[in-house]
Parts: sequence; C-alpha cells; structure tokens
Amino acid sequence: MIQPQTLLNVADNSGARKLMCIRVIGGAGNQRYARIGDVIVAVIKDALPQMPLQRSEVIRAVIVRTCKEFKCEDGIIIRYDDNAAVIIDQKGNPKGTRVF
Amino acid sequence: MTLVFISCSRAQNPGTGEGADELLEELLQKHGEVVYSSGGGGSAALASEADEDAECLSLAVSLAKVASEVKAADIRVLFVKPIVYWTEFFIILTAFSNAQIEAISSKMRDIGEQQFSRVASGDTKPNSWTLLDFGDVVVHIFLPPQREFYNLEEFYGNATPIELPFETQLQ
Repeated sequence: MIQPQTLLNVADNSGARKLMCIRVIGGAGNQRYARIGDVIVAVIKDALPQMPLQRSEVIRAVIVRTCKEFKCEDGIIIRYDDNAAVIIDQKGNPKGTRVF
Repeated sequence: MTLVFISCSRAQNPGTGEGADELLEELLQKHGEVVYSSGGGGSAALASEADEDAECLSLAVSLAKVASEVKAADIRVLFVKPIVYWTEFFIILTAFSNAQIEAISSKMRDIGEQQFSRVASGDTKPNSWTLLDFGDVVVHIFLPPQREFYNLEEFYGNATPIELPFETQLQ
C-alpha cells in the first residue's frame, strides 16, 4: 500500500538510497495505493555521492517489496519487512544493473 | 481354511504382540500386492525430470537456432537451474534494430507455440532489453549498448554454457 509521501528503499545499484512516492501511475488515474509491480513517480531523497542519480531528481520506479502482504492466486501470502522499489526509465528498463 | 485360522488368532491375541505381526506378515505375503514403492517411485521421478530437462534444452536450442537465422549476434545459452529457482535456461542475444527484435520475438513465439505448445509471456513491444518468458526458458534480447551495460554473462558467470550446434556470429 504505497501512496504519495511514502518513503521507500531502493533495491538496485543505481545510486539512490531513499525515494519518496509522489504519484501512483496507472489504474485510471485515481488509484490510491500502489502494490508490488505498480509503477510510481518518486523523488530521490537520499543518494550515494558521485553517481548519475542525485538527490531531488524525479524518477519512475517499480515496487518490488511491500510491508503490506501480497496475496497470490494460489493462496500464498507474502509479506516483506520493508517497502522497496527499483528505478526504471520511461520505457521500463532498469537504471541500475543489479537488483538486491 | 484360512478364515478359520484368522478368527482363532484374533480370539487369542487381539491385534497385539508378536503373534499378530507374524500373522500380518503371512497375510501380506499371501494376499498383498505392492501399490506404491518409494525406491521405484524415486527413479521414475528422476527420469521424468531428466525428460523435462531434455525438452527444455531442445526448446532452448531451437529458439537459439531461430535467432541465428534472423542474424542475431553473440547468442549464448546458459544452464541456470542450479543458480536460479524460477527457470532452467537463459538465452542471451544481441539484435541491432527494433524491427529485428520484433522479427526474432515473433519467430520465437511461433516456434514455442507450434512445436512445443508453450505460450510466451513478456514484452510485446520491442525495447532495448526485450524479454520473452517461456517458463523454463527465458530469452533476453539486447541492443548492443544495453548488452554491455547490464552484463548478464558476468552476473551469471557460474552457469554452464551450452554449446550450440551451429555457428554464431560474434560482434
């Protein structure tokens, strides 16, 4: 359940460390919460130095882990300990090379 | 004759003690039949697993062959089953234009559907990193700069490469 103002960790080696969600993409424009697999617009709140991505850049990310449980069709429920996203570009390709 | 024997024993030892065990053994030997055997079942499971691996390998090799017919470059087939739990084979190849990516993916989907009856999920539009997921075989189609940037061969360096029975173009 990721909504605007949510802080997320970054799960790749793109250089950013923390993101804050500012908009949920898709779902007819009025989707309130984003789940695993949804794309969000986020701003970088914390980044590693000397990397291509810097603080206060607006980027898109896809959510990969949520603290809210995720129910699969076969009945399995998965819940992680943190909210995390992977930074992607406009076409959907990841900006980093490794995902953690 | 046998029925009489059983009823006498039951009166003496009601289902307990060594006499009951012997009786049971005798009855099993006389009238029992083997329905399930773990030893035989284990080897059958391994054999079916080897069959599935062979089918996935043949799918991977035929997809790689299709790619080489469309002049994709640097085709690598990696056996990643010991490294990754969600698939068995990776095919990594380089294409040089969106039209070529489209051609490769449509031919691969056709081969998968017609010969192996597997539908691919993944990217429908060509992209600088296009993915086709046949379940046990995952195909990565890169443009040349992306292939170097993501460098999957280094990340999966522990995977055993599969030799392809045809020549691949290297660039």
